[in-house]
Amino acid sequence: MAEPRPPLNTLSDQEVVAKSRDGDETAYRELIRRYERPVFSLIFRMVRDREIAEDLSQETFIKVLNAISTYRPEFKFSSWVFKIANNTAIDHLRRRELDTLSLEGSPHAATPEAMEATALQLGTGVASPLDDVASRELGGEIEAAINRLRPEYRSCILLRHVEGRAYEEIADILGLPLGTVKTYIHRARNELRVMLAHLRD
Amino acid sequence: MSTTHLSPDELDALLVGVMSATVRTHLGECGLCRAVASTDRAVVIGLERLPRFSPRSGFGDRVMLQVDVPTPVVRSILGLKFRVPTGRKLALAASVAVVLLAGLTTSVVWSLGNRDVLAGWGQQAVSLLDNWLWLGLRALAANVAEQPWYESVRGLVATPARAALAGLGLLATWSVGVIALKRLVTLPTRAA
Repeated sequence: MAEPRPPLNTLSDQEVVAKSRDGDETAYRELIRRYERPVFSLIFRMVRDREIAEDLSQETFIKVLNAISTYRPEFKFSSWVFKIANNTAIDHLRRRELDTLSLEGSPHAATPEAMEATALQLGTGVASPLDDVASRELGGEIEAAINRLRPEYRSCILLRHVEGRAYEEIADILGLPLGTVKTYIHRARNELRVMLAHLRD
Repeated sequence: MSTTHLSPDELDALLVGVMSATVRTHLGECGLCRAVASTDRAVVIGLERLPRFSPRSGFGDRVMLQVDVPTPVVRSILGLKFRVPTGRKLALAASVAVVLLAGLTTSVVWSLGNRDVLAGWGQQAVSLLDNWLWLGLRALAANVAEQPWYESVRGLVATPARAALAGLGLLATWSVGVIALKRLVTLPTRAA
């Protein structure tokens, strides 16, 4: 009698990848389920346009999953996914040269409805209405400050403090020397500190 | 009071709750570093509390529409894994197979209908090869006979006794060579 298969959500990334290589479609879906929110959030914060972020996230996953046979298990799967996501977002920013970004919505939105639909939604999961307002305000200020960072600083600070990645992993994801990553993160924090200084008053 | 402010690495360590005695002392004395460390902490907490966004529902389905999932692995009787190619690989393999099969079929059909022509071509090819072979052999023999060492080598096998001696010499050299090669290629059975 065959042994019962463990549920996919209890397996490690490497085990799920091995299953996907064997042609298990549910394993592909499990990898998407695990990374769709982190990847989408990173790309959304990089490009500030929901539609574009959706397209770029989709492009990221199509690249990752169609190249799953070339993935080398000695590296972290999450690093590989974030590397492709970051490169996809940076390529887009270089193509579009999106310098002026708005928290109020996509710079490409033509109508107020489109602006609202593409605006960042902040402050989910907060206990009281007062906390909700405060958190929305603080979150909004931080999002706006992140927006003003250079794209390289933005990638670093998002990967470090939003995604919680280690310095070494960020260096691997961005293909930068460890020292450069540390410098970028310190400079980004310095800039954020200056931009958010008024909140302390 | 120390004039050197906290380094980026020390500020980093503070964010994860690591504080050396020197840093503690400095923070007690330096209002600027206290302010920097405190704002850093507030910024990082703010960043960590930022929400994660979700793509529209059906994201996974839209991705899967454009992903080539390989056919599940098939196990052969010998227990060896192999895959049936899918997508582009399958199309390429099928195209190559069709081209090869079409070429093979055409050549077989044509050969069956033109046996006389094929036989004529075959005879021509055989006679041509025969001519080239003899011409080559004659040219080689003529070349060898014109070499300055030819007469001395010929002298070595001029009588049956000399020929036998030369043959024995060659055999001995060949045997020594074989034995030496065998020893060279034999793997050592234990460490020296």
